Amino acid sequence: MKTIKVCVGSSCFLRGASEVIDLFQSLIDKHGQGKVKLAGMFCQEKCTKGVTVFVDEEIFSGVGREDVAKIFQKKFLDNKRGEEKEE
Amino acid sequence: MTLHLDIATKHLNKFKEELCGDSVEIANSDDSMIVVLSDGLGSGVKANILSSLTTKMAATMLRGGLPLNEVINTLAATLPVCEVRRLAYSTFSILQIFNDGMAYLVECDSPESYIGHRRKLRYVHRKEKEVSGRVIKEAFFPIKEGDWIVLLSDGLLHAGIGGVWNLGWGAARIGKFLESIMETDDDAHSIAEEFIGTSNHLYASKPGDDGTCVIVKIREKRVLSMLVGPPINKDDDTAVVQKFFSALGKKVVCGGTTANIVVRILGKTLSVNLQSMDAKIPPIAQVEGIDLVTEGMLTLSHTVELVKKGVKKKEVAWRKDGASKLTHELLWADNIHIIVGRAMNPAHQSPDLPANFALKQKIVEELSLLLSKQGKVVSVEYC
Ligand code: FES
Repeated sequence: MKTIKVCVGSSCFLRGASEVIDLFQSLIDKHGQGKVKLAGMFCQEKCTKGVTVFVDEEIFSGVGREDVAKIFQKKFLDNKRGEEKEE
Repeated sequence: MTLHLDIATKHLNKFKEELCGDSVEIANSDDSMIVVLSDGLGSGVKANILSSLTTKMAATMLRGGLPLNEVINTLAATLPVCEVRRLAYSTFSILQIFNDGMAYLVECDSPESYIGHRRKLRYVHRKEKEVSGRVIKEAFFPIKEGDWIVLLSDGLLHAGIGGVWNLGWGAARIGKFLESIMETDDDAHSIAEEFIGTSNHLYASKPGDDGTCVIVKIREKRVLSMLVGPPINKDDDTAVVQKFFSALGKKVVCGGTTANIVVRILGKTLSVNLQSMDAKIPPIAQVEGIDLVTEGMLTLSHTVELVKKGVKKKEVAWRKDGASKLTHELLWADNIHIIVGRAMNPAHQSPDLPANFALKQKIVEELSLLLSKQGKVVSVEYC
């Protein structure tokens, strides 16, 4: 199972971490139930730009609400299609 | 003394009276805490002056270590004399609780105080004696955790007279009532409110007399340590965290970065509780061995607002957000030790975050002042 971790430290929170979490949650509800876990974390010391998001070990910093769908698509939906093809 | 005295006073004014004829004075001496409750003759201004003179003089003299007979003599010589009775008339009860765990109770023409342990009344024998022409009843008894003492004026005994109860609420029924409300874990303040609220109700909201109660609950002192922000010097991290973690009582960590440091040093894991997120307050996290972990500045500023508004412990008990949880812990505690790390706002943090040290210090100081005003002992240490 993959984990999406969203930083909810002071800075990321002020930059809309809760919105990012809600958006990820609704995407997970739609596409990834049981396959993706959503979690929070405190400051990851990358707060200069926007919300910090980890997908497993991969770091995305400066995430805004408009980036959520892209990240999800790339990391889960595209991937899933690839897996299906492989089968 | 590891015992804490949780004390609350509440008055019920006689219908249409603006001033209560009863007064209460609470004072601390080096080795004791003194409560004086007095009921002045009559009602309104005159009664209020009589009773407040009585409580102020008695508390001041007792605090100065003067013996009771001198207190009573002075009261008799100073208070205006009632024309009918030729007596300086005010009734009073005095409760003095010494740091060594002994209590001294004196009642002079006032209704008998209630003494209990958890949900049972306790019988304490009083010795009668005459002091300067007035009969007083006195008792010495030890106190322990779970005990409570209720002083009251006779207005409460008469609640409901001629209405709900022919002869008023009465001492026996009040005793039962107190046993039932002391069963809960409620603090003295809520108990006092419930007591006065019920008597007002029995009076059908038209009290025929002033009524006052003082609730004293004796319980274990509640201690809380709170770590806010990382130490200015990174090398101190381990020592500060270990000292914080080994302190007695509850532990609270405020600040995401601070929480990360604590978890790293203690070798624990942190899991953020996303359900506790609120539109304005970042979520809390769980760390084993720590009672509460919250984000820092935003949570603290909201906490200050809540405390400033005077929220009650009950009101925040079931709220999930970090500021309500923190407020609940702070209102719970009697002694609060705040360790404030002076680490500067790290360069990686965004400039729109109000997280410089001066502001943090201001918020902590404001919080500590607000909590001290509520009778809590607050100490602040910088590291
Ligand atoms: S607050 Fe999220 S990276 Fe700093």
